[in-house]
Amino acid sequence: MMQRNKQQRKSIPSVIKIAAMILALIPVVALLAIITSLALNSSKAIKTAGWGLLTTTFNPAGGQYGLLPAMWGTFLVVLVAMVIAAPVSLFLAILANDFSIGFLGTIIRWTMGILSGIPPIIYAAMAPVFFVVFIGPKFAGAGLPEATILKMTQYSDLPINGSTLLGGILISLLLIPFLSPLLDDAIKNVPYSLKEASFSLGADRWHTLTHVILPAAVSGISSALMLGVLTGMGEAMIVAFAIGFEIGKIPQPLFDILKSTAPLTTVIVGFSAGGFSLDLSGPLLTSIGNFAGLVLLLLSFAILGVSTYLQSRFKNRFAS
Amino acid sequence: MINKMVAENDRLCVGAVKKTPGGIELKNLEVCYGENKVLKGISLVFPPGKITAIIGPSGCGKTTLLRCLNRLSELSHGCKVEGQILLDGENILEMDPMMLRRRVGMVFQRANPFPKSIRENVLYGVKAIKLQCDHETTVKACLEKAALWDELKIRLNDSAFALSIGQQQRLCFARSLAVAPEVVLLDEPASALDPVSTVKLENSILAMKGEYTQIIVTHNMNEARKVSDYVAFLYAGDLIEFGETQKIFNNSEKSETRDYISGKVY
Amino acid sequence: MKRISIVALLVSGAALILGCLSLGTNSLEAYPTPVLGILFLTFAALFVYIRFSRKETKLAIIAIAMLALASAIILKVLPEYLHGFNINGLIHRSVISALLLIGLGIPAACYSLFYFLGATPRARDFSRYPLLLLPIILIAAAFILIIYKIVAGGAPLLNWSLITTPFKDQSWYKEVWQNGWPNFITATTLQIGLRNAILGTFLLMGLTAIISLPVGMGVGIFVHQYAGPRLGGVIRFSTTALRAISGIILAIIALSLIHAVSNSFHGTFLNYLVQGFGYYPNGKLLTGRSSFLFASLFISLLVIPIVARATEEGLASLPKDIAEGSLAVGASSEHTLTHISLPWSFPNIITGLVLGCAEAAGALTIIFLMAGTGELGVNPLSETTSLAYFIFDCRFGTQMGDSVQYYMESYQYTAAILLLIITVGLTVLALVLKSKISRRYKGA
Repeated sequence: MMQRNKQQRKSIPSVIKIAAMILALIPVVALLAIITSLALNSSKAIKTAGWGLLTTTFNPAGGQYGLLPAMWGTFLVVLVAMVIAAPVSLFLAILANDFSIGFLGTIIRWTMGILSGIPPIIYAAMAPVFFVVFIGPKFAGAGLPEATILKMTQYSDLPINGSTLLGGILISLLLIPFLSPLLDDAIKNVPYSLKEASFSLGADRWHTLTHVILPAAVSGISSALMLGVLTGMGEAMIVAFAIGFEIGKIPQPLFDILKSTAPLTTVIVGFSAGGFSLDLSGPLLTSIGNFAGLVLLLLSFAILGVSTYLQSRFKNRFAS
Repeated sequence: MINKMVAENDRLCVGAVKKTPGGIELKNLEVCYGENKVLKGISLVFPPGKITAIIGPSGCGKTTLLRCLNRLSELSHGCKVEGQILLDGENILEMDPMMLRRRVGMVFQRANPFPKSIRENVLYGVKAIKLQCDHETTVKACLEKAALWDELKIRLNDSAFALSIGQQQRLCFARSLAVAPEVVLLDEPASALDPVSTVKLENSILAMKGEYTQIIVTHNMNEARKVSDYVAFLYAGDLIEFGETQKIFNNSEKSETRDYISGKVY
Repeated sequence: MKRISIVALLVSGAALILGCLSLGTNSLEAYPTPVLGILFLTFAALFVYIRFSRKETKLAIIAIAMLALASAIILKVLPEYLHGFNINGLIHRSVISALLLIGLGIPAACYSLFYFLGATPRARDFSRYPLLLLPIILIAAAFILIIYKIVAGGAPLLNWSLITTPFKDQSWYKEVWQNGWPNFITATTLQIGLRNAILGTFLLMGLTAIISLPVGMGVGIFVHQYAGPRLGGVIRFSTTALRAISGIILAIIALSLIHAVSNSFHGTFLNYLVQGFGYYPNGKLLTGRSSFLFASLFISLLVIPIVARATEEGLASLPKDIAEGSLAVGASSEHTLTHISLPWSFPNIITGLVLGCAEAAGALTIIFLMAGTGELGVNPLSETTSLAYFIFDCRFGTQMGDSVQYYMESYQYTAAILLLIITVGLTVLALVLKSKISRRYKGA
């Protein structure tokens, strides 16, 4: 009798295992569904415009439906954001670890923890504030009479309605509390024996930092920075408030961050949902929007893959 | 102060001129970690140019004493050092610690080479303190002193991690010599090594007698007997006995010393 | 040397302060040029002194002096506003002066601090602090600006009635008897309040938690306990990848799903399940943009990875000896899982859930095309709303077809304060829990 029960128990997998397996497949199914949906919906765009989607600018009247301005817009805004956020987060991590005085490290870690709880919409809502305080007076001639402005610019081309600079600044504020703990970990995990060896040879802290610690933490730091790029790329609220929805042309000059070059995220919304009206816009535009989403998705996965690879290399380097 | 700094940069590197080894004197050294008193009033003189071994059971404060001599002990939280430690008459506790560590080098228990090439490892200290000297001569001289030159002279650009543990430890030894210290501290340097590497390291240490003052912490009685000129025996934070190696091992004054050396349970 | 380096330090400090202030205001334009001139003189003197006393030719110092002189001349020559070259703006001279002052001030401060402290190696370390601290001070100023604006703008408007009144801007036809004859008039009600937005936020958090907790734990348990390396790797990657997907993509997929359901299944229960519905006071039924249930399904795609990772970390942190001890007594691995491993992982799972709830409360990118103002009630089957959407609505409401922007635009900072209390509160709670967990290991 007991024998038979034992055999039965072995051949029927437990309820928990089945339940766990079903639940665990949900993310995989969801991911596949998302990719499939995007791919299917983009078919119309691909049939109409082919490779032009990725290589030309957007000019429907001329028959061009390219996403190049949108991709450039994403690149620019992430560049501005990382140029501000990466050094600041790195310095914060350095101050919390090797250059810490007293409680400075603890204060930095807790402050960054608290600030990381601020959702992106808050930074987005601050766009007008930052415009009035910074961008307006410095870049848009706020406070000058209309006539003087017109005389100077002749076209009244001012970053009034939005600019990549504003978006980049706000995204960098979002990224700093995100990146600091990651960089902190990367620096903290450099083995103490290396630091000890460097000090015992008479090197000062700064030399140890630049010649031993940072080179040893390079893969951890790169992996963290890539995650920062990933987050910045996918940010839609902040750029919606700070840059706008219209897919424009590629800015001339190329790096003019005072123009508003709508990045991929808002362009996706602009096409798929016709701006904000909740009726879907024409089928071709919706399809282009889905294609843009696919591009964004694949780019994100590529960066995520590299980041994960770098992270595993970082851990393996010091495993002994 | 300015004159001293100018003199620092004029110091000549390894392989150029014979250096004078420095003598260390401890006057009533007391070290506490938090509330734990680890060293209780140690007074002792390490003779210049000679090799002194510090022996004693685990936890008696040997490593703490050694780490005080190049002020690495300060890097641990809550460490308080009182008393005087004199290097050639100067109190090192009042010096700039980094200047001190250029004169007092250290080899650690576990080899800790940098993830750089062999040449870069040896030259690290030289570059860090911007010592003016010929790099190639320095590398050759240091590796010769560590009995590594013949093995490694064609592999100087290889990564230090490609070496065996024994070679890595001798590389760390060579590295510590590159900045031309006066004193070299060795914290159980052979404890992680196989017998052959141990012998090579011990021979290197013996070859440097007279040119450097060396202080070696060891658990190995044979090593102490073979390598050192003087022995200091520590127990529970106190200096029990200090004297010439022959005297300590053959007819020591204190019974505790005799018991420890003969292997009685402590 | 001490005297010269003190002067150099003071001048560099002045340059830095002036540079930072110039970032904030346009009216300090008279000062950069003289400050830079003095900087040039001071550093030239420092260079000469170092040359003679220490016999070193410090190129960096003379370079700073020369650059200071050049900058002073440049600033004198530039007009107040720069424009042209097809650049989209009028760049005020203070931007350039701020960049020059800070760019020269940082190395100047570092070097003068170094010589002031005696040019020892220890001094070299300490002299790096201006470089490390300055960018942080600027960013801290930005954050202080944000907090100040939110509190100053929102706190005065915060009162109890705001929190307890739902926003309503409705008009409907009402049958009214006048003089014995039936008549239809348009009745309206207008209420200013945030109650439904607040309740909506909590409802979203709750529904997301209910969905994500079992799924996340299932993923964690399966990957840790049962899956082989390849299947486990695939699941792990998909779960992490879900977080890498921009919320916008989920938003448009959700939107197209809603449209598909509403077109194919119009008027049926499925339609109401997905789109949400509510009633006017006269009994009229109205469908919303999407229901809480539907929205939280998509938000949980973002939260499941957090819970899954927390579960896996918790399970992996159980010391192997304990798990083996349970098996050695004869218990099955399922029993070990439910009675030993999972309880051990509870703190991790709870922390992950709290973090996930904070994310759900702030999640807007996913739901902003599907949410409304909550005028028709707050229950799982009514239209999605949340504080985050409310803030968004205050700026873009008219484009969304809501009237919130018209009536409640000034309340956006108040909504921001409430939202921050929720999200930051939850995040801090999670951090406290995390530090308690790590203390557990130090004891063990």
